[in-house]
Amino acid sequence: MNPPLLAVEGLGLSLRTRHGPVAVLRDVALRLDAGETLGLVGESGSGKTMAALAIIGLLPQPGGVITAGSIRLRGEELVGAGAARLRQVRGGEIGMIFQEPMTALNPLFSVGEQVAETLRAHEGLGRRAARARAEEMLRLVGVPGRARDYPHQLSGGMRQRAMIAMALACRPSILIADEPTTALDVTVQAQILDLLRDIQRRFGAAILLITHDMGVIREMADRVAVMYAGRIVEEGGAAAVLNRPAHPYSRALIACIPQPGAAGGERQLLAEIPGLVPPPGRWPEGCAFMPRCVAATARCRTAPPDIAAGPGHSAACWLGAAGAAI
Amino acid sequence: MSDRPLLQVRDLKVHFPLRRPHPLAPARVVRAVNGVSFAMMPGRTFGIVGESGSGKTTTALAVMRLVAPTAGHIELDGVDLVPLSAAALRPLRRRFQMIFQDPFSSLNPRMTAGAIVREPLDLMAVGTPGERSRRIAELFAAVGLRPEQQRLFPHQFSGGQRQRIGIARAIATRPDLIVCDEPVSALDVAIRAQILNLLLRLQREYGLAYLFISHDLGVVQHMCDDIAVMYLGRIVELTDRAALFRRPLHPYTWALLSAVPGAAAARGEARVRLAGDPPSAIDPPAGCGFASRCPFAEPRCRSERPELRDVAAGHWVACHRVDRAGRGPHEATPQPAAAVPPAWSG
Repeated sequence: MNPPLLAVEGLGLSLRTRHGPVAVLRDVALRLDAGETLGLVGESGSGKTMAALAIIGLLPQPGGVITAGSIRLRGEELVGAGAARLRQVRGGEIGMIFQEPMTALNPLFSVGEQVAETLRAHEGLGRRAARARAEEMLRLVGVPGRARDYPHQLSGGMRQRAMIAMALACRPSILIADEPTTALDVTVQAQILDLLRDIQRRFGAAILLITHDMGVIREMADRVAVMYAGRIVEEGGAAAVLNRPAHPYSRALIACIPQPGAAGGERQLLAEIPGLVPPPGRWPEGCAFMPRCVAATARCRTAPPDIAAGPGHSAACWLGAAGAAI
Repeated sequence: MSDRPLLQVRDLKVHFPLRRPHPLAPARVVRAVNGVSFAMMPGRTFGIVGESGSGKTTTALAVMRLVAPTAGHIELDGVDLVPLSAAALRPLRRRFQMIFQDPFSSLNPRMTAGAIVREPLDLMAVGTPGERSRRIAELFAAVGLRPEQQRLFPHQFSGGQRQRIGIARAIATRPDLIVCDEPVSALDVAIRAQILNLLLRLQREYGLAYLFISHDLGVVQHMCDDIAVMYLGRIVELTDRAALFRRPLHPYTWALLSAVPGAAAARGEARVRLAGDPPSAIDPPAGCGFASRCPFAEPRCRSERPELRDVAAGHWVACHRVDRAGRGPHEATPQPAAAVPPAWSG
């Protein structure tokens, strides 16, 4: 059997701080198959961006250290791989899209030059060939004839398209999109999500979509992983997780969002999750969600087991299937 | 509840002149708010929703008199605020206050939380100093902060707690109206729910009216009684929440609701997509501002600006293509006026 496109297992990551090393990822496992979209959701500080950076070998320096686990790309171990190989992977086999295109694009070069630069670095194309491919990529993502424009001359949506062109230039098999539409207006966000779907259909790239927006997940993802305090607490098919969340945290997170499109009626208070996400370094032993969990019991002080909540759907919780009744 | 509006905005315009690149260049003006009128009832929440550049925040700032209106009237209980001097405005300030989007930059980092909440009481000389101290303790409890937290500085609080401080400061003078400019946009989803619930509880307790500015349709639908949709400096549709979400009439509102991720899928509708970005508010188009992106635009839409008109009781829309029977151009199946659902007509 072929190894999965991307397999992350038991990944631990710690950062050096004034108070010594602090774990920010603990025992993270993710699998991404060709052509699928995996949504990674969680609040700020849950570790979703750190997980993405670890996958592409961009650990915060100094002090970011992978303490455990493996990251395999088509079976090839990336943990401990050389800097040159990781550079090949980034932008070559794995493309990246960030939240704020204005900070990710270089303001001093035209967008065409920046896309061409990626191609020259990774595919060794000559100046003219790279230029032509860059223009073609920009046309493909809906920014035709703007290759000579600088980032500031483009609107937010256009810049995000230019960044997608850059990420796609080398036809990666994986696209990591970290909050790709969070900074955009809703009508422009819809265009960008359509573009990502279209690109996936055309190129067959797998997408790791990091977002805090459950609506985006509902619209885009095949599978979802929910992160809390550096751990994956639930994973499963998108519809199963969104409609029948098994972990108390996922349930609470989904319940506290005002639902657009819901029928009118009297205004009611939203469900609340009391308290705050604890910062790294102050994660409780056992289940990190325990202090905020309505269903916590004494056994939650020891690390919870992964329980099956359905086919391909698991949650790390002591409550087991009985928890679904809460 | 009285029938008299608490706040009446009439034909508000806020224009910002741009610096000319050279002395002979033509004068250019950003028409951020270009003729906006609405009325707000006491104790209710009036939402303004729109995308970047629609003029919603500038409208809020103009109501607060934090930017100077170019033209128009802003009447609070019948008193026009626009011609008033800063000195004449000060005694009225206690009646309308504001909550800002960014709880990190809107609080003075050198003041303690207690001093921040106390400041408006001191400035407007509300009560005796002793009464003010009691009032601050009361306010901290009302927004869910502990009394000893009065002595802490803003950086010692989380984003959600800072927003609570901003809310305590805003309600300190017992205002009738609070302008909320994207009050939860900078917060994480779980914290958002806490702050929205706090705003709802305070409204019930104190009878506050909120002018609620947001780009998030889920939040607007959850919070607002009446909603105005803005596009390019103008209101394109204005009605109550049920009508707007059940049956948007302006093609822009229709596309906006459809663009919310997951919403179209949840309602079992096909998605609608708008091409391009909104045009610039510098030299806005002569006709309808939305014509360049509207799938139903006809030549008239590009030349003649549609006025906001009422097409049903309490439902106002600025679109040439909404017909006499009150059907939006996107409503393919003809629907006789008599068959309009009862909830929509009210």
